[in-house]
Amino acid sequence: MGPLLLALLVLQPAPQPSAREQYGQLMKQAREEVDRYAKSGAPPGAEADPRLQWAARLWELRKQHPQDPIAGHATRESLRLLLDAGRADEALARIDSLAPSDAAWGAGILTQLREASVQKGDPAVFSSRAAKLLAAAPDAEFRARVHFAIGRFHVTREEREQAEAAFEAAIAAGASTEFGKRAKAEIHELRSLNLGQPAPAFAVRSLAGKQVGNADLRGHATVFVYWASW
Amino acid sequence: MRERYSKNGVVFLGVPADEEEAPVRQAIARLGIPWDHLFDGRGFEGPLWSDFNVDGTPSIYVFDREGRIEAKRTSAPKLAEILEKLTAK
Repeated sequence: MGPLLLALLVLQPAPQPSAREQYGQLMKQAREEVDRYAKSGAPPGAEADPRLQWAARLWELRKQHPQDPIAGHATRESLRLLLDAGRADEALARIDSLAPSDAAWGAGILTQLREASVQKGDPAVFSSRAAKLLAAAPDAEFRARVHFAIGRFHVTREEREQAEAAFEAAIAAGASTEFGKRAKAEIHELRSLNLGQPAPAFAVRSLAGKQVGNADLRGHATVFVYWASW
Repeated sequence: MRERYSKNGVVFLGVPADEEEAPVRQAIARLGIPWDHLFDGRGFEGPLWSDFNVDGTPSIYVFDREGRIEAKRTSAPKLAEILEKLTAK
C-alpha cells in the first residue's frame, strides 16, 4: 500500500452517526443523568435539573433532522422531559410551534398536550388546541387521531358522554384508520367493560374438551390468564 | 399462588394468543401449567381478545362469583391482592 493511500485512509473522517444513533445516545445519557439527579433528592425543574438540558438537546436533534422519522420521537421525549420538570409553559410553547402537518403528531404529541393541560389544571389548554388542530387537519386520518385524543382526554376526566361523542367523531372521520378502530374499542370499553359489569358473552372450547361460556363463570371467582407460547 | 386460591374456589383459565394448537400444548407441558385453556385458534382476532379489549400478553382478567368484571388487563403482581379481597367477600 502506497503512503498516499495510507494517508487517505487515516484521514478519512469518522462516519457521522445517524439521527437514530444520535437519538439513542442522547436518550441513554439523559436517562442516566435524570436517574442520578432524581436519586439525589433534588427537586424536579430546578435550574440544575438535567431534564432541561436534555430536553433542549433533543429539540435540537429534531430541528437538525426534520424529515427523519426519529424527529417525532425526539420531539415527544423532549416534551416529556419538560413536563417531568414541571415546565408546562415551555412544553406548550414548543407544541404550539408544531404545524398540523408535522410528522411528530404521529409520535404521541397529543398525549403530551393532555399532560400539559392536566399540569396547568385547565382543560381549555387541551381543548382549544385540539379544536385548532381539527380545523387545520390535513386529512381524515389526522382528524380521526385528534378526535380520538379528545375522547381519551374526556375519559381521563371521567366525562363519559363527551368521550363517547368524540370517539364517534373519530369513527365518522375514518372508520378504517388506526384511530377509527381504536375509537371503536374505546366505545366498547366505556359501554361493556366497566368494573362490576357482566363479562362479555363468550363460548369457547377448552383444550381439555369442555365447552366454556359465561354460565361457567358463576359460583366461583375466575381468572383469565392471557399468554402466548412464543 | 394458584394452589392457594384454588382451595378458595378460584378457577384459573389460560387464554393463549396462538393460532396453532401444537405449540400451546408443548408450552403447557414444558412449563407444567396445571390449568385448562380456552383456545379457538383465532389468535388476537378471537372474541376473548377483541371483546375484552386485550391486545397483548401477559394480561389478566378477574371475574367475581357472579361473573362480573372484578379487574381488567391487570398484571400478575397485582393478582394476589385482588384475589385476597375477592375471596374474603
